[in-house]
Order: sequence, then structure tokens, then C-alpha cells
Amino acid sequence: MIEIHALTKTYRSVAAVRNLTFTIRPGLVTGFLGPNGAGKTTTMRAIVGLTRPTSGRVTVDGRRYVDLPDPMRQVGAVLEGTAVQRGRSARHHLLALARTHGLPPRRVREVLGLVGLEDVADRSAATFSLGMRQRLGIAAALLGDPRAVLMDEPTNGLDPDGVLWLRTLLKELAAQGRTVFVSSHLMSEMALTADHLVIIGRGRLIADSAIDELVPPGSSLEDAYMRLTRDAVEYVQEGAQQ
Amino acid sequence: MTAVEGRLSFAGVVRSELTKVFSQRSWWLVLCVAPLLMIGLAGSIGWNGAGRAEPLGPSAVVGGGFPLFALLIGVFGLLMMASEHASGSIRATMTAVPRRLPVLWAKAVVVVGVTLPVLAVAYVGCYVAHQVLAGEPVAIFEPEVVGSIAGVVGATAATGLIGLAVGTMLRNMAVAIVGYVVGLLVLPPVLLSILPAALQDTVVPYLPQLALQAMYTLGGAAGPMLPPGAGAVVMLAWVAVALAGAAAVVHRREV
Repeated sequence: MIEIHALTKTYRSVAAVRNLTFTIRPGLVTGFLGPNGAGKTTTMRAIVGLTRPTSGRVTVDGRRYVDLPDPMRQVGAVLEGTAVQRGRSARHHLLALARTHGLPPRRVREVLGLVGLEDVADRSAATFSLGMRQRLGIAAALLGDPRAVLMDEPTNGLDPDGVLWLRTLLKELAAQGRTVFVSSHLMSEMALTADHLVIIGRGRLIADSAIDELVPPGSSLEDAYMRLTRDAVEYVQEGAQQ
Repeated sequence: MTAVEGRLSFAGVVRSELTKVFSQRSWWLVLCVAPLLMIGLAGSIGWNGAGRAEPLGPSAVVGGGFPLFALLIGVFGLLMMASEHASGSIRATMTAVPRRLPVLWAKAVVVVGVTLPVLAVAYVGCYVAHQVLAGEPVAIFEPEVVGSIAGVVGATAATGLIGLAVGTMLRNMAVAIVGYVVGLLVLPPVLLSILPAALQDTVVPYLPQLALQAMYTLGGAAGPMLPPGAGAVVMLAWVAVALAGAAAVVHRREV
């Protein structure tokens, strides 16, 4: 369980996230939605300690992420695309991460198989396509067999086959009792994957409820989302209807 | 799938950093080829100077290779952190090690651990190649020779740590390389020309470049220079200050 309590993050004078409070429960896929600039990435970065809150608290099973003795076994995160240093293979990228926690090298083979990259594992990962890098990022997140998984826009760059695979994987992880938190801009995909939704806009909480409550029968998630975020869109195209 | 066991440890972070260094073929090449080139260079200098009335002393023989190794090892240290910022892999690293500072210390351990053996072999090789081809005696266990080699190996490893600190503070690779070269090589002569003469002799020996030179200059130096032991102490202080600055940046700035 991940608890976000009164989280506020201010960059210089701009508030990316304001007084945000919600809980991400285990056993469900929780979708994280919001317009560009709403603070989704900031919130996810704050969960794994990459961003330090200006105020408020984020805890993973009651503890701050930095205080965990085995962070990779508690939370696996796919954030802002996956970066690998030039000249390093996918296998060595994963091996370097595994070593920090003394995870066995066989675990690297397992996750490479799980994401379908074993055939290209020894190629320089800098040459990977966006979709392959996304798979590598997912492999890295799963290395520690974590109790919670965070993914920021994981469907970016995945082919239809990959999108289906990821949807199945996320549902499986949740069914195993793990906490699964996924952001996306694809409403149709979210409608198929998520059990629960957290929607933010301009750094504030807009909705936090089961998907069935947000989307009445006969309407779509897209309709519900547009209605809820109408006043929270930061970047409006000329001529677009508010 | 079987249960996965493991927890974060400093030894693990060091092993992770070693994996990063040895999984990059470019560093294998640099660390193997550069010493061979330098040994060849030292040999040819010896060959050309054979039969000299006043043969070069051991400090001059091993010190000849120092500027190039200082640049190479400094950039090696610098890239250990700066290249992670350039590629963005620093985010994965710091997510695995959220306390962050262990990453800096582990990189420092690896810089010293990897470069010391390479440098020891390289400088001993340079000395032997020079002496043999110059037709001079190889006196590897003479105190002056041992002292010069130990000093130059230590001085070069120190440049690796300074590089790591500069790369950590400046993050951007190009800026960090310029900062390292300017701070270590360009600043002393500039200071020398702008300081009043009365201050020059008191300030200049304590600058990193001069303290580094002092570490391997045995048997008298030209110009103001500290004795080797004092040079080593001053250099350790510089390394401590630089790493403290780097630690402050790692601790405070987001990645």
C-alpha cells in the first residue's frame, strides 16, 4: 500500500502538486490520469524519492521509500522512459541494478525472458527502439519481484501485441496481491486495465474512486474524464472547445 | 518463479559500479591500451637519451607520463557520474539506491580500486622500459625509485577522485571536462601571473597541480614545491574538499 499524504511540491514558485492525498491499495490496478502538466510524473517521482516533497509525506507500507532496507523488492518503477548508457547491453544494465541488492544473476535472465528481450539481451541497449526500451524498463522494475509497481506511460512505443501483453501483466500482478499504479493518456486502454482511478489536474485531486462509479453504464471513460478535467487543462489548443 | 531474496548493501553498490565499468568496452580498451602506449613512449624517450651525460632521475622518468595519465584517469572519474546524467541512467541508479550518497562513495572506491593496479603496472613498466633502453641500471627497489613510483601512482589516482567530484558537481560532460582541465592545469599559471610576487611562493605550492607534482618529485625540485609527504597531505585535503562538495550536490539536487 502506498499512501500519499498532503503532498506538495513547488519548483521555484510554481506548484507542481498541491496538497495531494490519496492511497493506492494492493490487489488492484489503479490508473493515474490527468492532463499534461497535472503533476502525475512529479507524484510518481516523489513515491520513489527522486523528488523530495516541499511538504507532506509519501509512504510505502508505512515507511518512507528512502528508509526501506530493500527498495527494489518493495517498489519497481518505470519512469520517464528508460535510459541506458551508450555501449552497455540490456543484460549488463539489469545486472548492475541487481548487484545493488545482491539479487542473483538468474533473476536477470528471468526478467529478460518475462519481457521477451532475451534474444537481444547482449546488444547495446542504446540502439533499442522505444518499445524495446520500455520493455527493458519494465524488466528493471520487476527485477526485485516488488510488492508494488509504478509505471509512467508504459504503453508509449509498445506495439498492439505489447499493449495486450502489458495489460495482462498488470492484471496478473494485481491478482497476485501487488499494488499496481499506472499513468496513461489512453482512455480506452485505461478503461480495459484499471479497477480504480485517481484523476488529478493542476496538481490537485479531482477524483479517487472505482472505475464503475466514475463511468456510468452507457457512457465512456473518455466522456467522464473530459467532464471531470474540463477546468484543469493547462494547454488548450486554439479553437478547441473548453 | 522462485522467491527473490536480496537487500541493499554498500558492498552491493560497489559491485554494481564495477559491473558498470567492466561492461563498457571503451573503458577496457582505454585501461589496457593507454599503459602500453605510455610504456612504449617511455622506452623511446630512454632510447633517444641513451648515453646522456646526466641521465634522468626516477622522478623525471615516471613524471613524464603523469600529465597524460592525469587527463585520462581524471576523465575516467569524471565520466563515472557525468555519463549517468547524460544518459539519464542516474534515475534508475538513484531509485535502486535512494539514499544516493552510497553511489558516490562506491564510485570513489571503484575509481581508486580499478586505477591503482593499472597505474602501478603502467608506471613500473615506464620506468623499466626507459632504463633498459637508455642503458641505465634498473634499480626498482632503490628508495628514490620506489618513492617516485608510489608518489606518481597516488597522485594519478587522486586526479581520478578529483574528476569524479567535478563530474558530480557539474553533471554536464562537456562542462565538467572543461572545468577539470581549467581547474587543474590552467589555473596555476594564471594565478602565478596575477598574484603579487610576495604571495606566490606561499600560495602556489598548495594548488592541486603543484601538490600533485610534489608527490612524486624526490631529490630536490626546481621552484617552490612542498616535500612529497606534505604534497600528499595537501592533495588529500583537496580530494576531501572536492568530494564533500560533490556529496552536498548529490544530497541536495534532484536527479
